[in-house]
Amino acid sequence: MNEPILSVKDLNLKFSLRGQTLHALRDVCLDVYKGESLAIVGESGSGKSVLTKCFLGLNDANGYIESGSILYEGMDLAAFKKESEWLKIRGREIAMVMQDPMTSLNPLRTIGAQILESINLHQKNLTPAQAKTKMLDMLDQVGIYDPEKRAKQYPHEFSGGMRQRVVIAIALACKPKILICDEPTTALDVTIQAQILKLIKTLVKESGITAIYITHDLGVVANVSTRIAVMYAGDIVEIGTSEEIFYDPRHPYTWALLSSLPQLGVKGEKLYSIAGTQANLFARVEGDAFAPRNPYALKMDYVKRPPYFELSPTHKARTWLLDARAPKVEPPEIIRKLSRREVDLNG
Amino acid sequence: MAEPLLSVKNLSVVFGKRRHPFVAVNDVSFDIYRGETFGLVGESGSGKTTIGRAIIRVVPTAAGEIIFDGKQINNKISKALDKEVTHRIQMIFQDPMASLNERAKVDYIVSEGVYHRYKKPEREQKVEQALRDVGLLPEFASRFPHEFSGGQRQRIGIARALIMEPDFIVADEPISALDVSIRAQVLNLMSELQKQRGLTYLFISHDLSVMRFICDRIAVIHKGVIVELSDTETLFKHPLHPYTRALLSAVPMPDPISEREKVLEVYDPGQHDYASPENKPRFVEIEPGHFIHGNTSELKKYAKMLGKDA
Repeated sequence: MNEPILSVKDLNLKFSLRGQTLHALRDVCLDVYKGESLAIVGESGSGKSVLTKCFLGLNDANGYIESGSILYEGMDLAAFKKESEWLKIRGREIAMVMQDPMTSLNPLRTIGAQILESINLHQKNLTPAQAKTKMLDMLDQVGIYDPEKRAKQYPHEFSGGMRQRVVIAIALACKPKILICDEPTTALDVTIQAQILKLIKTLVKESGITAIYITHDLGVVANVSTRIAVMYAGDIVEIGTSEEIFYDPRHPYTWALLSSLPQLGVKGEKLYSIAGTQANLFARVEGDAFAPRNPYALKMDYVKRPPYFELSPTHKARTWLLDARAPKVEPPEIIRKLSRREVDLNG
Repeated sequence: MAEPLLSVKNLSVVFGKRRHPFVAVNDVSFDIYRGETFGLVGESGSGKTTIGRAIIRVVPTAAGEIIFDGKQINNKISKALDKEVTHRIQMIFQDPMASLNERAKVDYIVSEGVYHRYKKPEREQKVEQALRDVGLLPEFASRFPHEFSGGQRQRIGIARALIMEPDFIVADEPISALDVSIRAQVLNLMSELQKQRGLTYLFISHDLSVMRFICDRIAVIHKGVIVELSDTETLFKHPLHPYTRALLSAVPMPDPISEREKVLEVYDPGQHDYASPENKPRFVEIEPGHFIHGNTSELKKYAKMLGKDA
């Protein structure tokens, strides 16, 4: 892999809420490499959206970065204070596709005008005619037929999948270096979801953009991502290439996420579900945040927070189970089945 | 699984009047047997929710019959039967954030359906029992919906349906709005309740991966027409209709290697030639329990595909 385009180091982010502090990101370290497709996976409330919003300065005003740095092309995004600084990054360098295409477009303006807005804002040297050609070109790229006619239409004349295509066109119009897709397909049907994922995948490949996907559904990312980071309670608990995460997961939380997928369930049997509720991030977390819900938890997990154990140059996990002193634990049956499948495919 | 609990015969639902009628459901027939989970899968706008709503009598029907436990329940029915039907058929909604009254306490939300059936002490007892049944604590009765997580809210929605002691539950995308881990909890709860009480479900969803896990039989619906109906395993092993195949190929699998090699099938409704009267499509049983929609030449092709597969 080549050099990192974005590098997050020991990032701590807190929200102050009614006199209490919520520790939303706890010492997050993450390198995003140029041209890769990284997926960030976790339950709602795990901090995956908060983390990516840090890259764009989009977190609510009550959130503040306590310590750590986000390095992007020699700049420390964590130190940005003024809106004018962010405007240089937002859209131009890093763009975002939001979850719900129903709410992220302005219902009172035509599709064409909304794409033009972002082109004009970021590429001021274009003449109006050039900008329009570019806009029609973008619509064509995202697979919208008859762009001339469609550009004059309003969002309500588009279906959900088509609207998401428009949102992608807006995000890509100013040629960003990084594209963040925050649950790009959760609000869409399965068939449309497959089409949109395929579209993003090809566009990203063609233009050499770095993509970051955020999702709670591991099934969705198998197709699109080259690397996967699993987040729990404001921390990345396991990170590796998608083969490593799907065929050789090591963290019990990754096991739990994979086991709860209905695709892998056996009919008539109970589907695995993660017991208990998420860690309370208002309180100080002692040890491993996942320990109370973890059937494989060791005594050590309640005392000291596990460090990262490196399994390969690309794969590391934060769990005491990987320590040399820990008892040997076999992953659940459903996970072993997945890894066997890899053997079948290779051999 | 002998007699059907609910049968839908040649059902049509039309919205709008005279000038611009829109046929949402077109000549749909199926049976749901007692104790089974029947799945209805299709994309948004296919009419799957409309069928569910026609069954709970929210949407008027244009033609056809809905027969529940031997009695016709669509169109005009007597007041007594209407009351019986509202008790025996209940619904679970998609979005637990939107479907619970924010200003009412859980106690009222759950007991609303039986508010006049039971007097106060008995009613409280019923609420307590219903909450326990869905794995919530009875103390939660005095709280408001916003104090709960998504999964807990969906449980409240299920408790509200259960307190009516229904035989039949229409579950309209009950887990689409939930996180993966909570999805598993709600699916488990639904199948547990089915085992305990012999409930019958109509499970409406756009996600075939969930359907495979929970449904006994599945009907695939496209633009208001059921294109294929069969038991789950057959449908997954030998999908015949091109739309079913497209849906199946879109299911995301947690397996990067096979996922990268996968070819997405795209369904083009223009491929059917249904224009001339002798080419009119029919809905026929191509093998026992496996129904398919197509015209004569397509049916021949499907039969051949089955012969090859078997």
